[in-house]
Amino acid sequence: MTMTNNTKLDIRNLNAWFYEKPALKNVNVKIPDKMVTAVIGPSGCGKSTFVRCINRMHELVPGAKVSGKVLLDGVDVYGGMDVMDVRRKIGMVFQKPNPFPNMSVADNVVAGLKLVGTHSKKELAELAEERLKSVGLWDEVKDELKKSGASLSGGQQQRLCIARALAMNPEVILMDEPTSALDPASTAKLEELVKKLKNEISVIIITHNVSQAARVSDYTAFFYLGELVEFDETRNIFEHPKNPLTERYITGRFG
Amino acid sequence: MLKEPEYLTNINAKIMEMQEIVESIGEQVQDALKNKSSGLKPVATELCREAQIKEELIVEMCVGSLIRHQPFASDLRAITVAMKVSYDLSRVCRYLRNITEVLEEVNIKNCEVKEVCELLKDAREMVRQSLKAYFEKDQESATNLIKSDESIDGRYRMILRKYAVQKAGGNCILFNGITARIVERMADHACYISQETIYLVTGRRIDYR
Amino acid sequence: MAIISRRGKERLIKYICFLATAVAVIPLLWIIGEVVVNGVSAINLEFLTSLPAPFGESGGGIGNAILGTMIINAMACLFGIPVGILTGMYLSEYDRISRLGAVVRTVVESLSGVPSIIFGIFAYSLIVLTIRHYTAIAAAFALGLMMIPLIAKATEESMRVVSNDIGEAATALGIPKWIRTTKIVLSIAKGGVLTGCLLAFARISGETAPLLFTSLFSFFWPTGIDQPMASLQVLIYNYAMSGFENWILKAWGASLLLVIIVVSINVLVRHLTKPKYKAGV
Repeated sequence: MTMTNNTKLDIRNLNAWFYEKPALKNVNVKIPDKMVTAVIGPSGCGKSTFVRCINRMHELVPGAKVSGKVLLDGVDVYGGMDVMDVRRKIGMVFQKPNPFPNMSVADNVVAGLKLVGTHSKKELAELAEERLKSVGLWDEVKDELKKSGASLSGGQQQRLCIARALAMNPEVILMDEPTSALDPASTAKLEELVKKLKNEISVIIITHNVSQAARVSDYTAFFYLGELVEFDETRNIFEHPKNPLTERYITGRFG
Repeated sequence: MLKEPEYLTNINAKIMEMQEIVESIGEQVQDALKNKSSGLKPVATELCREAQIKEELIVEMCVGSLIRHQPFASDLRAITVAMKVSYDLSRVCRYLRNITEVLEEVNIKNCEVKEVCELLKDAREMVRQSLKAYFEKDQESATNLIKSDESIDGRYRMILRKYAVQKAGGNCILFNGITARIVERMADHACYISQETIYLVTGRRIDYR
Repeated sequence: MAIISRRGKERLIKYICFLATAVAVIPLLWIIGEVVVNGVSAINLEFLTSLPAPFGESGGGIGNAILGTMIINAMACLFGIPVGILTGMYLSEYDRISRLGAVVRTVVESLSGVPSIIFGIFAYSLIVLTIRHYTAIAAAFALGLMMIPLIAKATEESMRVVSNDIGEAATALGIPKWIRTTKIVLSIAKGGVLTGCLLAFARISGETAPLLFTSLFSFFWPTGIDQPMASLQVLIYNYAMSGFENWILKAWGASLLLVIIVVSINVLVRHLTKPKYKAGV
């Protein structure tokens, strides 16, 4: 397998700070299209910051600063696009599932559209069903569509959040340790879903579980102390990493 | 490279035990060849069985480590290489036993066996060196060893050519031909061990053909 | 200490805590008990619906005070609740870190500790002196001001919690901030906001000092919000010291009413805050 894929996200000289303290140092990487890219590294290495710079969530944190370019299909998200548009095109799923508890399951899925746009009820219902099916949740919740989004189990909630993000038809989906709070069975289901998603969109998944990266991703990026240490096909990283730091991390010598 | 985890040290200890058995059989076969004696087969068979048990144990330990530790990178390569090395060693054992079988069946009292004796000595030395390079993770030695296989090949073909044109002494022709072939295969396995050693250190597989 | 065994120490601590709790609770129960015992006999339909009888006469009621309290409190809510909620919303969603936000927050917090009489004087000098007579509007203003810090704080805190967890999801969906703040964060936090409002209401129901300077008192039905108005609190103040047995009894009755209002609100709040925000995970 060689890196002959299209680039979805071209990240150039990305730097980020928290109150003058550098969190990301000169990150340069090309994230491939319609592939799963895992982001790994020890706590505090900047992986979360990196991902949040992609959909411009980092700048919402008090004291945050960003410089550099993040080109989505050639257009810089910092300047070439409206920030709301960025977040619609680049969706995000969080570590702790966060469905809106004041909305039903169906409403949760289409929340991004319903609250903002003028779609008809019928359109929204169809979209909700389609998205719930694509995340494998339809059969489990089709009789409970009116119940609160928060009444589902943890694994179901997380898939609901993915459906919600997908309903916006994003081109990239970012996942920040999506299975950290789930039990093994739900984790397995979610990993299967992640592998399926890459047929539609590009996936970037942060994980502190190195085995998970090996299981689900095509490419892996290893971060350490704010720097991108190594980026390569997952098979190469896990069979013969080039950088001794990468080797030490994935063999569990530190982190 | 990184410090070896304990499970790997244990596996390599077992490989060393296998090596001792191979050395033991090898020495006895070498003597039998020099003295043109037979009767070694039962001992060799018994020792080989021991070696095979050790190989099975090594594979079990490797699988167990895969399950328990889910290793990556150099740890992962070390496990897969250990399994292959133990297999190569068991083949070497088998070949040595094959020689005792031939010694059993063929009377070589009047045969010239100096060439195959030398060949066997050198092949045994190759096995020894390849294992040394493996345990020490010595990429350079391993590379050199692979090169030296050529000379073994050359000498093997010389022996074949020599005995191919002989008209009399069927037992000697048979014995030398088969034994040379067996020893050449032994040397091949020493090469495989070296190739695995290079993969262990660099993570790349080279095409040696 | 070898004298007291470990089990002995456990029991000792337990009893000390229990004793302290008793010291705190018993007077409270005593007060409520006194009020109930003394006031219950005053409660009847006439009491609740009619005007005070002339001096010295028996009978009559506190109907005007009840209505007055309702009107003043309602006006205070009309003023205090929206301002409080919007302030809380501002602090939670729009300004977590700047200097201005910190100043606002400090002021709001300090206000909740300011003695109520100050609010009374403020409203007095601002409104009563300006229009040159006592008026219920000033009372509503003073009480409304007192509600603001409580409501703002409750709103800010409930919204902040929601905002951190759930609000992020809304932002990540590309939902504009004002929609996120109102339709999502505020909507989810409404329990906490409601609690804050109820507690603020309970507080102002008990305040007397501001009313003394502003709505003063009246023996008649409320005639206009710009006029002085009767209220339960001031009635109790006046009647209790009057020396007339009838009035003293009425004061107890009014006290009972007030206690009932305040206690029910607190019970309601406890009930509402129990099965709140089931967040699944």
